[in-house]
Amino acid sequence: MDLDGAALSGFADLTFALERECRLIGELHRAILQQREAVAQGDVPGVESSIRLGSRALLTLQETRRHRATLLRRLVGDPAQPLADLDTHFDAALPETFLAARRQVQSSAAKVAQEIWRNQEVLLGALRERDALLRELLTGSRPTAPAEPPPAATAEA
Amino acid sequence: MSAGWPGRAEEPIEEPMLRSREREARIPLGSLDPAIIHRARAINADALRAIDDLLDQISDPGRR
Repeated sequence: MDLDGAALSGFADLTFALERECRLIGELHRAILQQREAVAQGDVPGVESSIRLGSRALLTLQETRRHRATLLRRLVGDPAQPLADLDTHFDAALPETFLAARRQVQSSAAKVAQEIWRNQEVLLGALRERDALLRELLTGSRPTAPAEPPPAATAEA
Repeated sequence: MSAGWPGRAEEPIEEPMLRSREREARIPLGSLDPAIIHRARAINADALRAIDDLLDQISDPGRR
């Protein structure tokens, strides 16, 4: 397929959409960091606020995803066309601005995924800690790790 | 007039000490309801799915 004026215009729209997705991923990233900080401080309004910010970023990301699908259908006729393989449709190299935006989205998405995983672990740890606290309050003792076996007795003369 | 001995109303009331301030400080999330933690985990799981879909769309074919 030729990279004609219509295709270049399509890539410009797609680049703009990717840049918007990148900004939304940035918003999600900030919400995730805020959530971690609020959890560490036991700050309920902070956690609530981070949930709201994260939900909003996520909803808007879903909207941009639908928009990207519309742009892809217009550009190559397939709304589910993976962005990674777009170059297979064209004879010429893809616009550098598009490639840069694609790299940026990929890098931001990979980073935010790591941060979200960390928060999931932190939140799970908080639940476990709370369970342990409840058990302690009910039974008067904290569950402890199994005791280490005593050191082997040394033979004495 | 308060019950008990004269001046009882002025006596400082000792707060019940279920756990010391030191203990309080080291227990994270003492004030967080588990429901809010579950909500945060649910929205994070949604976010992970969305980001994973995005990475599938955008990454090199080797990842898919």
